[in-house]
Amino acid sequence: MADVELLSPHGIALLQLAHDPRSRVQDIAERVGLSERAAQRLISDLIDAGLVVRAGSGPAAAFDVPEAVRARVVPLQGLSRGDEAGNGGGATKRDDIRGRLLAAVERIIEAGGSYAEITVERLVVEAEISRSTFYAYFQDKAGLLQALVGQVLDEMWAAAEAWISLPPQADRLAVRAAMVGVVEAYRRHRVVMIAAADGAASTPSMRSQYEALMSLTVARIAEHVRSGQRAGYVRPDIDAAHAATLLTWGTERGLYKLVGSSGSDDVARAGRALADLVWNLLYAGYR
Amino acid sequence: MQGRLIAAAERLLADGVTFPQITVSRLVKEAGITRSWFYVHFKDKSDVLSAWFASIRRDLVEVDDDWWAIGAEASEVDLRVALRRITLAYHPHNLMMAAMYDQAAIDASTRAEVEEIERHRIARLEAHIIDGQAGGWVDPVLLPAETAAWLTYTGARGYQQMVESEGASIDEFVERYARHVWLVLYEHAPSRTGADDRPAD
Repeated sequence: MADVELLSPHGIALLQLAHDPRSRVQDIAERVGLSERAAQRLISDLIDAGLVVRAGSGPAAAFDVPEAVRARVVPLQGLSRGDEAGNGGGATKRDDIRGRLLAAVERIIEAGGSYAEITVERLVVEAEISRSTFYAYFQDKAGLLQALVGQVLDEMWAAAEAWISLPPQADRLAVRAAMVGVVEAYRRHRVVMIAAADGAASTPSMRSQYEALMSLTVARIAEHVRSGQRAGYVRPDIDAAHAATLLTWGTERGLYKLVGSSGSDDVARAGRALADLVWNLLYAGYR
Repeated sequence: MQGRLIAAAERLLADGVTFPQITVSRLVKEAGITRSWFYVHFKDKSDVLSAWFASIRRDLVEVDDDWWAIGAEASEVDLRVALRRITLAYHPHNLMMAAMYDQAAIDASTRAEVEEIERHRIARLEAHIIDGQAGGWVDPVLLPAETAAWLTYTGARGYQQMVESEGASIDEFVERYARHVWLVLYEHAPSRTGADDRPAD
Protein backbone atom coordinates (compact mmCIF):
# COMPACT_ATOMS: atom_id res chain seq x y z
CA MET A 1 0.00 0.00 0.00
CA ALA A 2 1.14 3.52 -0.68
CA ASP A 3 3.17 5.04 2.14
CA VAL A 4 1.88 8.54 2.60
CA GLU A 5 4.09 10.68 4.76
CA LEU A 6 2.41 13.75 6.12
CA LEU A 7 5.59 14.82 7.89
CA SER A 8 9.02 13.91 6.56
CA PRO A 9 11.68 12.58 8.93
CA HIS A 10 13.43 15.94 8.49
CA GLY A 11 10.24 17.70 9.57
CA ILE A 12 9.82 15.53 12.62
CA ALA A 13 13.49 16.01 13.58
CA LEU A 14 13.16 19.77 13.22
CA LEU A 15 10.05 19.83 15.37
CA GLN A 16 11.80 17.80 18.05
CA LEU A 17 14.76 20.18 18.09
CA ALA A 18 12.56 23.27 18.17
CA HIS A 19 10.75 21.75 21.09
CA ASP A 20 13.88 20.74 22.97
CA PRO A 21 17.27 21.97 21.73
CA ARG A 22 18.95 19.60 24.16
CA SER A 23 17.55 16.59 22.32
CA ARG A 24 20.22 14.00 21.74
CA VAL A 25 20.73 12.19 18.47
CA GLN A 26 19.28 9.17 20.24
CA ASP A 27 16.06 11.09 21.01
CA ILE A 28 15.73 12.15 17.40
CA ALA A 29 16.35 8.61 16.24
CA GLU A 30 13.61 7.29 18.50
CA ARG A 31 11.19 10.00 17.50
CA VAL A 32 11.69 9.45 13.81
CA GLY A 33 11.93 5.67 14.06
CA LEU A 34 15.33 5.38 12.43
CA SER A 35 18.86 4.39 13.47
CA GLU A 36 21.13 6.88 15.26
CA ARG A 37 23.29 7.04 12.18
CA ALA A 38 20.32 7.99 10.02
CA ALA A 39 19.25 10.55 12.60
CA GLN A 40 22.74 12.03 12.56
CA ARG A 41 22.41 12.39 8.78
CA LEU A 42 19.05 14.12 9.19
CA ILE A 43 20.56 16.63 11.61
CA SER A 44 23.50 17.27 9.26
CA ASP A 45 21.03 17.90 6.44
CA LEU A 46 19.12 20.38 8.58
CA ILE A 47 22.36 22.16 9.50
CA ASP A 48 23.40 22.30 5.84
CA ALA A 49 20.01 23.78 5.00
CA GLY A 50 20.53 26.46 7.62
CA LEU A 51 17.50 25.35 9.61
CA VAL A 52 19.51 24.22 12.62
CA VAL A 53 22.73 25.53 14.13
CA ARG A 54 25.08 23.54 16.31
CA ALA A 55 25.65 25.40 19.56
CA GLY A 56 28.70 24.34 21.55
CA SER A 57 30.49 21.10 21.06
CA GLY A 58 31.06 17.75 22.67
CA PRO A 59 28.55 16.20 25.09
CA ALA A 60 27.08 19.56 26.05
CA ALA A 61 26.30 20.48 22.44
CA ALA A 62 22.80 21.62 21.73
CA PHE A 63 21.11 22.27 18.43
CA ASP A 64 19.70 25.71 18.09
CA VAL A 65 16.77 26.50 15.85
CA PRO A 66 17.11 30.13 14.63
CA GLU A 67 14.26 32.52 15.39
CA ALA A 68 13.07 32.86 11.80
CA VAL A 69 12.76 29.09 11.49
CA ARG A 70 11.26 28.81 14.96
CA ALA A 71 8.50 31.22 13.98
CA ARG A 72 7.43 28.75 11.32
CA VAL A 73 7.34 25.81 13.70
CA VAL A 74 6.23 27.62 16.87
CA PRO A 75 2.56 26.58 16.52
CA LEU A 76 3.65 23.01 16.91
CA GLN A 77 5.67 23.51 20.08
CA GLY A 78 2.72 23.00 22.37
CA LEU A 79 2.60 19.42 21.24
CA SER A 80 4.93 17.42 23.41
CA ARG A 81 3.67 14.09 22.04
CA GLY A 82 2.58 12.78 25.41
CA ASP A 83 5.34 14.22 27.55
CA GLU A 84 7.41 11.15 28.40
CA ALA A 85 8.06 10.56 32.08
CA GLY A 86 11.12 12.42 33.24
CA ASN A 87 10.97 15.12 30.59
CA GLY A 88 11.92 18.35 32.32
CA GLY A 89 11.39 16.96 35.80
CA GLY A 90 8.35 18.95 36.90
CA ALA A 91 6.54 22.14 35.99
CA THR A 92 8.59 25.18 35.07
CA LYS A 93 7.62 28.66 36.20
CA ARG A 94 6.20 29.34 32.76
CA ASP A 95 4.04 26.23 32.99
CA ASP A 96 2.80 27.37 36.38
CA ILE A 97 1.87 30.85 35.14
CA ARG A 98 0.30 29.35 32.06
CA GLY A 99 -1.74 26.94 34.21
CA ARG A 100 -3.08 29.79 36.31
CA LEU A 101 -3.96 31.80 33.25
CA LEU A 102 -5.73 28.81 31.75
CA ALA A 103 -7.83 28.41 34.88
CA ALA A 104 -8.54 32.16 34.85
CA VAL A 105 -9.61 32.13 31.20
CA GLU A 106 -11.91 29.19 31.80
CA ARG A 107 -13.49 30.77 34.89
CA ILE A 108 -14.08 34.09 33.14
CA ILE A 109 -15.63 32.46 30.10
CA GLU A 110 -17.80 30.10 32.17
CA ALA A 111 -19.23 33.20 33.76
CA GLY A 112 -20.21 34.45 30.31
CA GLY A 113 -18.35 36.16 27.50
CA SER A 114 -15.91 35.17 24.83
CA TYR A 115 -12.16 35.01 24.61
CA ALA A 116 -12.23 37.92 22.20
CA GLU A 117 -13.75 40.14 24.89
CA ILE A 118 -11.31 39.35 27.67
CA THR A 119 -8.68 41.98 28.45
CA VAL A 120 -5.17 41.27 29.74
CA GLU A 121 -5.98 43.50 32.71
CA ARG A 122 -8.86 41.31 33.75
CA LEU A 123 -6.86 38.16 33.16
CA VAL A 124 -3.95 39.11 35.41
CA VAL A 125 -6.31 40.09 38.20
CA GLU A 126 -8.16 36.79 37.92
CA ALA A 127 -4.92 34.81 37.72
CA GLU A 128 -3.35 36.79 40.55
CA ILE A 129 -0.19 37.66 38.69
CA SER A 130 1.29 41.02 37.77
CA ARG A 131 1.08 42.57 34.33
CA SER A 132 4.84 42.51 34.05
CA THR A 133 4.88 38.80 34.79
CA PHE A 134 2.31 38.24 32.08
CA TYR A 135 4.30 40.20 29.53
CA ALA A 136 7.52 38.48 30.53
CA TYR A 137 6.09 35.22 29.22
CA PHE A 138 3.52 36.19 26.62
CA GLN A 139 3.64 38.86 23.98
CA ASP A 140 -0.11 39.48 24.01
CA LYS A 141 -3.47 37.78 24.30
CA ALA A 142 -2.98 35.98 21.00
CA GLY A 143 0.34 34.65 22.22
CA LEU A 144 -1.34 33.47 25.41
CA LEU A 145 -4.07 31.69 23.45
CA GLN A 146 -1.41 29.90 21.46
CA ALA A 147 0.28 28.73 24.67
CA LEU A 148 -3.03 27.70 26.24
CA VAL A 149 -3.96 25.77 23.13
CA GLY A 150 -0.60 24.03 23.41
CA GLN A 151 -1.28 23.01 26.99
CA VAL A 152 -4.81 21.86 26.31
CA LEU A 153 -3.71 19.94 23.25
CA ASP A 154 -1.11 18.13 25.34
CA GLU A 155 -4.00 16.82 27.40
CA MET A 156 -6.03 15.95 24.32
CA TRP A 157 -2.99 14.23 22.92
CA ALA A 158 -2.58 12.20 26.13
CA ALA A 159 -6.26 11.22 25.94
CA ALA A 160 -5.85 10.10 22.32
CA GLU A 161 -2.70 8.19 23.26
CA ALA A 162 -4.74 6.30 25.84
CA TRP A 163 -6.76 4.97 22.92
CA ILE A 164 -3.88 4.46 20.53
CA SER A 165 -1.68 2.66 23.03
CA LEU A 166 -4.33 0.12 24.04
CA PRO A 167 -2.89 -3.39 23.74
CA PRO A 168 -3.77 -5.24 20.52
CA GLN A 169 -6.19 -7.54 22.31
CA ALA A 170 -8.17 -4.67 23.87
CA ASP A 171 -11.88 -5.04 23.36
CA ARG A 172 -14.71 -2.72 22.39
CA LEU A 173 -15.35 -1.72 26.00
CA ALA A 174 -11.75 -0.58 26.40
CA VAL A 175 -12.02 1.52 23.23
CA ARG A 176 -15.27 3.01 24.55
CA ALA A 177 -13.62 3.96 27.81
CA ALA A 178 -10.73 5.57 25.94
CA MET A 179 -13.03 7.57 23.65
CA VAL A 180 -15.09 8.80 26.57
CA GLY A 181 -11.76 10.02 27.93
CA VAL A 182 -11.12 11.96 24.74
CA VAL A 183 -14.54 13.57 24.78
CA GLU A 184 -14.19 14.40 28.47
CA ALA A 185 -10.78 15.99 27.90
CA TYR A 186 -12.26 18.18 25.20
CA ARG A 187 -15.21 19.10 27.38
CA ARG A 188 -12.95 20.01 30.30
CA HIS A 189 -11.14 22.51 28.10
CA ARG A 190 -13.88 23.39 25.66
CA VAL A 191 -13.39 27.08 26.30
CA VAL A 192 -9.88 27.12 24.85
CA MET A 193 -10.59 24.49 22.17
CA ILE A 194 -13.55 26.48 20.90
CA ALA A 195 -11.60 29.75 21.03
CA ALA A 196 -8.85 28.08 19.01
CA ALA A 197 -11.27 26.69 16.43
CA ASP A 198 -13.08 30.04 16.16
CA GLY A 199 -9.77 31.84 15.81
CA ALA A 200 -8.79 29.45 13.05
CA ALA A 201 -12.09 30.13 11.28
CA SER A 202 -11.68 33.88 11.30
CA THR A 203 -7.96 34.47 10.97
CA PRO A 204 -5.79 32.93 8.23
CA SER A 205 -2.62 32.95 10.34
CA MET A 206 -4.33 31.06 13.15
CA ARG A 207 -5.85 28.75 10.60
CA SER A 208 -2.48 27.58 9.32
CA GLN A 209 -1.26 27.02 12.87
CA TYR A 210 -4.38 25.04 13.69
CA GLU A 211 -4.05 22.99 10.54
CA ALA A 212 -0.42 22.20 11.32
CA LEU A 213 -1.49 20.82 14.69
CA MET A 214 -4.23 18.81 13.05
CA SER A 215 -1.73 17.39 10.53
CA LEU A 216 0.36 16.02 13.37
CA THR A 217 -2.70 14.35 14.87
CA VAL A 218 -3.71 12.85 11.53
CA ALA A 219 -0.16 11.54 11.10
CA ARG A 220 -0.21 9.95 14.53
CA ILE A 221 -3.51 8.22 13.92
CA ALA A 222 -2.41 7.04 10.48
CA GLU A 223 0.68 5.58 12.16
CA HIS A 224 -1.60 3.71 14.59
CA VAL A 225 -3.69 2.32 11.74
CA ARG A 226 -0.62 1.14 9.84
CA SER A 227 1.00 -0.53 12.80
CA GLY A 228 -2.33 -2.16 13.68
CA GLN A 229 -2.56 -3.45 10.12
CA ARG A 230 0.94 -4.89 10.35
CA ALA A 231 0.09 -6.51 13.67
CA GLY A 232 -3.25 -7.81 12.38
CA TYR A 233 -5.73 -6.03 14.66
CA VAL A 234 -6.75 -3.37 12.15
CA ARG A 235 -8.44 -4.35 8.89
CA PRO A 236 -5.97 -4.40 6.01
CA ASP A 237 -8.31 -3.12 3.31
CA ILE A 238 -8.50 0.52 4.33
CA ASP A 239 -6.13 3.34 3.52
CA ALA A 240 -4.52 4.56 6.74
CA ALA A 241 -4.04 8.20 5.69
CA HIS A 242 -7.58 8.66 4.41
CA ALA A 243 -9.16 6.92 7.39
CA ALA A 244 -7.05 9.06 9.72
CA THR A 245 -8.00 12.27 7.89
CA LEU A 246 -11.73 11.59 8.06
CA LEU A 247 -11.56 10.41 11.66
CA THR A 248 -9.48 13.33 12.90
CA TRP A 249 -11.34 16.13 11.14
CA GLY A 250 -14.74 14.56 11.71
CA THR A 251 -13.99 14.20 15.39
CA GLU A 252 -12.70 17.77 15.58
CA ARG A 253 -15.88 19.17 14.08
CA GLY A 254 -18.07 16.78 16.08
CA LEU A 255 -16.42 17.67 19.38
CA TYR A 256 -16.81 21.37 18.62
CA LYS A 257 -20.51 20.91 17.93
CA LEU A 258 -21.52 18.20 20.37
CA VAL A 259 -19.58 19.10 23.45
CA GLY A 260 -20.40 22.79 23.83
CA SER A 261 -22.69 22.73 26.79
CA SER A 262 -23.52 19.09 27.11
CA GLY A 263 -23.89 17.32 30.40
CA SER A 264 -21.98 14.22 31.43
CA ASP A 265 -24.63 11.88 29.99
CA ASP A 266 -24.16 13.42 26.59
CA VAL A 267 -20.40 13.03 26.94
CA ALA A 268 -20.84 9.34 27.67
CA ARG A 269 -23.12 8.82 24.69
CA ALA A 270 -20.98 10.86 22.30
CA GLY A 271 -17.86 8.97 23.43
CA ARG A 272 -19.54 5.61 23.10
CA ALA A 273 -20.88 6.39 19.64
CA LEU A 274 -17.44 7.56 18.55
CA ALA A 275 -15.86 4.38 19.90
CA ASP A 276 -18.38 2.14 18.11
CA LEU A 277 -17.79 4.09 14.91
CA VAL A 278 -14.01 3.63 15.23
CA TRP A 279 -14.52 -0.02 16.13
CA ASN A 280 -16.49 -0.70 12.97
CA LEU A 281 -14.11 1.31 10.84
CA LEU A 282 -10.85 -0.21 12.04
CA TYR A 283 -11.11 -3.23 14.28
CA ALA A 284 -14.35 -5.20 13.89
CA GLY A 285 -13.57 -8.74 12.94
CA TYR A 286 -9.85 -8.26 13.60
CA ARG A 287 -9.33 -7.17 17.18
CA MET B 1 -27.72 42.62 -8.04
CA GLN B 2 -27.64 39.92 -5.42
CA GLY B 3 -25.90 37.77 -8.01
CA ARG B 4 -23.19 40.38 -8.36
CA LEU B 5 -22.73 40.47 -4.60
CA ILE B 6 -22.40 36.70 -4.40
CA ALA B 7 -20.02 36.61 -7.36
CA ALA B 8 -17.95 39.35 -5.70
CA ALA B 9 -17.90 37.47 -2.40
CA GLU B 10 -16.81 34.30 -4.18
CA ARG B 11 -13.98 36.12 -5.95
CA LEU B 12 -12.70 37.51 -2.66
CA LEU B 13 -13.07 34.14 -0.92
CA ALA B 14 -11.23 32.39 -3.72
CA ASP B 15 -8.33 34.75 -3.04
CA GLY B 16 -8.03 33.28 0.43
CA VAL B 17 -9.73 35.97 2.46
CA THR B 18 -12.12 34.61 5.06
CA PHE B 19 -15.70 35.83 5.04
CA PRO B 20 -15.41 37.40 8.51
CA GLN B 21 -12.49 39.45 7.16
CA ILE B 22 -14.42 40.87 4.19
CA THR B 23 -15.83 44.29 5.03
CA VAL B 24 -19.08 45.55 3.56
CA SER B 25 -17.10 48.35 1.91
CA ARG B 26 -14.79 45.92 0.19
CA LEU B 27 -17.64 43.69 -0.84
CA VAL B 28 -19.73 46.43 -2.44
CA LYS B 29 -16.67 47.86 -4.13
CA GLU B 30 -15.82 44.48 -5.63
CA ALA B 31 -19.43 44.05 -6.70
CA GLY B 32 -19.63 47.52 -8.21
CA ILE B 33 -22.68 48.53 -6.21
CA THR B 34 -23.26 51.35 -3.74
CA ARG B 35 -23.28 51.03 0.04
CA SER B 36 -26.68 52.66 0.12
CA TRP B 37 -28.10 50.03 -2.21
CA PHE B 38 -26.58 47.37 0.00
CA TYR B 39 -28.15 48.71 3.18
CA VAL B 40 -31.54 49.08 1.56
CA HIS B 41 -31.57 45.36 0.86
CA PHE B 42 -29.43 43.81 3.60
CA LYS B 43 -29.00 44.44 7.28
CA ASP B 44 -25.41 43.20 7.31
CA LYS B 45 -23.05 40.62 5.80
CA SER B 46 -24.78 37.72 7.56
CA ASP B 47 -27.97 38.74 5.84
CA VAL B 48 -26.26 38.21 2.50
CA LEU B 49 -25.38 34.66 3.52
CA SER B 50 -28.98 33.99 4.60
CA ALA B 51 -30.37 35.28 1.35
CA TRP B 52 -27.88 33.26 -0.63
CA PHE B 53 -28.71 30.07 1.26
CA ALA B 54 -32.42 30.61 0.78
CA SER B 55 -31.83 30.89 -2.96
CA ILE B 56 -29.93 27.61 -3.29
CA ARG B 57 -31.97 25.69 -0.78
CA ARG B 58 -34.24 24.37 -3.47
CA ASP B 59 -31.25 22.73 -5.19
CA LEU B 60 -30.35 20.87 -2.06
CA VAL B 61 -33.52 20.12 -0.17
CA GLU B 62 -34.26 16.68 -1.55
CA VAL B 63 -30.80 15.71 -2.72
CA ASP B 64 -29.88 13.83 0.47
CA ASP B 65 -32.78 11.51 -0.30
CA ASP B 66 -30.44 9.63 -2.60
CA TRP B 67 -28.72 8.29 0.50
CA TRP B 68 -31.92 7.26 2.16
CA ALA B 69 -32.77 5.11 -0.82
CA ILE B 70 -29.90 2.83 0.22
CA GLY B 71 -31.50 -0.22 1.74
CA ALA B 72 -31.05 -3.88 2.41
CA GLU B 73 -30.01 -4.75 -1.14
CA ALA B 74 -27.51 -1.94 -1.63
CA SER B 75 -23.79 -2.42 -2.09
CA GLU B 76 -20.91 -0.10 -1.30
CA VAL B 77 -20.93 0.95 -4.94
CA ASP B 78 -24.57 2.02 -4.64
CA LEU B 79 -23.67 4.07 -1.60
CA ARG B 80 -20.82 5.68 -3.49
CA VAL B 81 -23.12 6.61 -6.36
CA ALA B 82 -25.61 8.17 -3.94
CA LEU B 83 -22.94 10.13 -2.07
CA ARG B 84 -21.43 11.31 -5.33
CA ARG B 85 -24.73 12.77 -6.44
CA ILE B 86 -25.12 14.55 -3.10
CA THR B 87 -21.56 15.89 -3.12
CA LEU B 88 -21.91 17.17 -6.68
CA ALA B 89 -25.08 19.00 -5.73
CA TYR B 90 -23.27 20.82 -2.92
CA HIS B 91 -20.00 21.34 -4.76
CA PRO B 92 -20.80 24.50 -6.77
CA HIS B 93 -21.67 26.17 -3.50
CA ASN B 94 -18.58 25.21 -1.58
CA LEU B 95 -17.05 28.69 -1.23
CA MET B 96 -20.19 30.20 0.20
CA MET B 97 -20.88 27.18 2.41
CA ALA B 98 -17.39 27.57 3.88
CA ALA B 99 -18.15 31.27 4.30
CA MET B 100 -21.26 30.38 6.28
CA TYR B 101 -19.28 28.08 8.57
CA ASP B 102 -16.63 30.74 9.13
CA GLN B 103 -19.16 33.46 9.77
CA ALA B 104 -21.06 31.17 12.15
CA ALA B 105 -18.01 31.19 14.42
CA ILE B 106 -18.51 34.90 15.12
CA ASP B 107 -22.12 35.67 14.31
CA ALA B 108 -25.01 34.26 16.31
CA SER B 109 -27.66 34.50 13.61
CA THR B 110 -25.50 32.71 11.02
CA ARG B 111 -24.58 30.12 13.62
CA ALA B 112 -28.27 29.48 14.32
CA GLU B 113 -28.94 29.06 10.63
CA VAL B 114 -26.01 26.67 10.08
CA GLU B 115 -27.11 24.66 13.11
CA GLU B 116 -30.63 24.39 11.78
CA ILE B 117 -29.35 23.10 8.45
CA GLU B 118 -27.12 20.58 10.20
CA ARG B 119 -29.81 19.45 12.64
CA HIS B 120 -32.09 18.76 9.70
CA ARG B 121 -29.53 16.64 7.86
CA ILE B 122 -28.54 14.79 11.02
CA ALA B 123 -32.16 14.04 11.89
CA ARG B 124 -32.72 12.48 8.48
CA LEU B 125 -29.62 10.34 8.71
CA GLU B 126 -30.70 9.31 12.20
CA ALA B 127 -34.08 8.19 10.84
CA HIS B 128 -32.26 6.23 8.11
CA ILE B 129 -30.10 4.49 10.71
CA ILE B 130 -33.13 3.57 12.81
CA ASP B 131 -34.89 2.16 9.72
CA GLY B 132 -31.82 0.18 8.83
CA GLN B 133 -31.42 -1.22 12.31
CA ALA B 134 -35.04 -2.34 12.28
CA GLY B 135 -34.47 -3.91 8.88
CA GLY B 136 -31.22 -5.62 9.91
CA TRP B 137 -29.02 -3.84 7.38
CA VAL B 138 -27.45 -1.27 9.72
CA ASP B 139 -25.38 -2.32 12.75
CA PRO B 140 -27.83 -2.33 15.70
CA VAL B 141 -25.13 -1.52 18.26
CA LEU B 142 -24.83 2.06 17.02
CA LEU B 143 -26.54 4.94 18.84
CA PRO B 144 -28.56 6.47 15.98
CA ALA B 145 -28.57 10.16 16.92
CA GLU B 146 -24.93 10.44 17.95
CA THR B 147 -23.68 8.28 15.07
CA ALA B 148 -25.68 10.37 12.60
CA ALA B 149 -24.06 13.47 14.05
CA TRP B 150 -20.50 12.13 13.88
CA LEU B 151 -20.98 10.96 10.28
CA THR B 152 -22.61 14.19 9.11
CA TYR B 153 -19.83 16.31 10.56
CA THR B 154 -17.27 13.94 9.07
CA GLY B 155 -18.77 14.35 5.61
CA ALA B 156 -18.88 18.14 5.70
CA ARG B 157 -15.50 18.64 7.33
CA GLY B 158 -13.90 15.81 5.39
CA TYR B 159 -15.00 17.38 2.12
CA GLN B 160 -13.60 20.73 3.17
CA GLN B 161 -10.29 19.20 4.15
CA MET B 162 -9.77 16.72 1.34
CA VAL B 163 -11.18 18.63 -1.60
CA GLU B 164 -10.62 22.26 -0.62
CA SER B 165 -7.46 22.08 1.46
CA GLU B 166 -5.70 19.04 0.06
CA GLY B 167 -6.86 19.26 -3.57
CA ALA B 168 -8.41 15.81 -3.82
CA SER B 169 -10.94 15.32 -6.59
CA ILE B 170 -14.60 14.93 -5.76
CA ASP B 171 -14.49 11.29 -6.83
CA GLU B 172 -11.56 10.65 -4.52
CA PHE B 173 -13.37 12.25 -1.60
CA VAL B 174 -16.57 10.34 -2.36
CA GLU B 175 -14.76 7.02 -2.56
CA ARG B 176 -13.06 7.59 0.80
CA TYR B 177 -16.15 8.89 2.58
CA ALA B 178 -18.31 6.10 1.15
CA ARG B 179 -15.81 3.54 2.46
CA HIS B 180 -15.94 5.20 5.87
CA VAL B 181 -19.74 5.25 6.01
CA TRP B 182 -20.04 1.74 4.58
CA LEU B 183 -17.81 0.23 7.23
CA VAL B 184 -19.41 2.16 10.06
CA LEU B 185 -23.09 1.58 9.23
CA TYR B 186 -23.56 -1.37 6.89
CA GLU B 187 -20.59 -3.73 6.76
CA HIS B 188 -21.22 -5.21 10.20
CA ALA B 189 -25.01 -5.37 10.04
CA PRO B 190 -26.62 -8.73 10.83
CA SER B 191 -27.96 -9.11 7.29
CA ARG B 192 -24.38 -9.10 6.04
CA THR B 193 -22.51 -10.84 8.79
CA GLY B 194 -25.32 -13.24 9.58
CA ALA B 195 -24.51 -12.55 13.22
CA ASP B 196 -27.30 -12.65 15.74
CA ASP B 197 -25.31 -12.14 18.89
CA ARG B 198 -24.07 -8.65 19.58
CA PRO B 199 -21.81 -7.61 22.46
CA ALA B 200 -23.65 -6.93 25.67
CA ASP B 201 -23.87 -3.34 26.82
